[in-house]
Amino acid sequence: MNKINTDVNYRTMASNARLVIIAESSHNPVSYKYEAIKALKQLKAAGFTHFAMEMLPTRIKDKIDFYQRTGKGFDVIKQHFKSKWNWTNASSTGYGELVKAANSLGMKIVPLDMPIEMMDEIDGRCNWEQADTGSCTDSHIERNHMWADILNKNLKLEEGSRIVAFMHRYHAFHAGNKHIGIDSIMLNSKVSRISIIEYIGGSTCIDNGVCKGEGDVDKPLRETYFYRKGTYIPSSLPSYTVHIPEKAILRK
Amino acid sequence: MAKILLILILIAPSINAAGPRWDNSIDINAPDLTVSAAAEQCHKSLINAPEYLEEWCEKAYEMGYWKALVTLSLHNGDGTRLLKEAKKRVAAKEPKAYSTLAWLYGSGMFVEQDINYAISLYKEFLALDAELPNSLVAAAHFKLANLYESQQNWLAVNEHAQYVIDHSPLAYDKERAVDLLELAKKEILIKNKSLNE
Repeated sequence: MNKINTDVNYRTMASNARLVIIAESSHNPVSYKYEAIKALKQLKAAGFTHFAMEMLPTRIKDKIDFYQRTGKGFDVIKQHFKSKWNWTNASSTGYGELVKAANSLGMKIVPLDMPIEMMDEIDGRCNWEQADTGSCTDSHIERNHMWADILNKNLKLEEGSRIVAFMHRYHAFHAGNKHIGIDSIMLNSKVSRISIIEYIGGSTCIDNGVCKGEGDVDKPLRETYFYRKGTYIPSSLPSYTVHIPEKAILRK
Repeated sequence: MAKILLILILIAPSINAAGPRWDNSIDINAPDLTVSAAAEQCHKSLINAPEYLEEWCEKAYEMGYWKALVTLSLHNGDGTRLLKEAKKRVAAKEPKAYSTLAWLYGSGMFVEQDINYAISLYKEFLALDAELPNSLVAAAHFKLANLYESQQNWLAVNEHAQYVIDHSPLAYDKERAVDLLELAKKEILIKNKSLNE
């Protein structure tokens, strides 16, 4: 296990990357969203220009652009999180706050995802097992390629652009044999200046056994805010783990 | 009573942690539950309902879907059962087990990374005396092209990438194979040139 560092410094973790992927180990904890706001502030100061998000579908791109242009129309985005990303009221609000923060910092907001209906339609044709044996592609694979394509286009469009992308851990890293992560897809497309930062801990991981793999640090570290090199899933890219202090909220 | 109600309202968002894409209507104890439905719930829970993952993946495993162990292992960070099962099935020459074991060794997930062993597994799979599904064969060539790229064995990359271009049903794999083929051809040319100088 790599050495822990309690001075959580996103500029250090980003180094000279053009793409920083912030990978939440679960969509549930609201603390990840507020930690990402902290990250955005530091990364904007370090020269990052764009904020891309799994949780925003490309079909509301014009609404997002309108909000960024005029400061009006945030309700549409808020409503989207309420109806499609309402893991808890607090987490859906957290996603909204993240968008607001990126906007206030002057970062260009980039939606990444396809509509949920399309995911269901794709999965109706190809399930996970079929996809993992290489006979077809399910929505997880299609989405990863779609996001990588959008990230690539934005990086190529402006030479000085640098992107912070926010998504679930199992999109950033591989989740199966053929379910490769954005890390590999971007590397394959010759984008090598990438850093991945994984969030673990937060409010989900006290001893109720429901969040293994989300924040299984040793007990003395559970209340510690720190980062260290390396991530839960191995990656060929520079990767870091940020541990958010855990708080006892029982789910069962 | 009002106090209890208030507490319940306040903690309610934390109790149900499954996401909006999670289908709660599928009954894990339904007598007509199919293996494929249980397997899908298992995989889907990885992102959408981690708190239900163990029960769904164990259910899928009990019903005969051993790849549920992939998702279970990712979730709990322990690949012991998965490794044991995949090795047992490879020893029994079960075609679908090869790619799982090779993926673990090729990526270094739950084991120390061993590219040579991953390559040998794919080669053994391709040499099996059995009717192999085309998609699995193309997927094995795709993985071999990528693994050989990491070893800079360009002649082998060239051979396996060409197979993917000719036979894979997957557009993404074909696109990547075209890139690999170009890279391999370039590297072979450079090598030949330096040998002739």
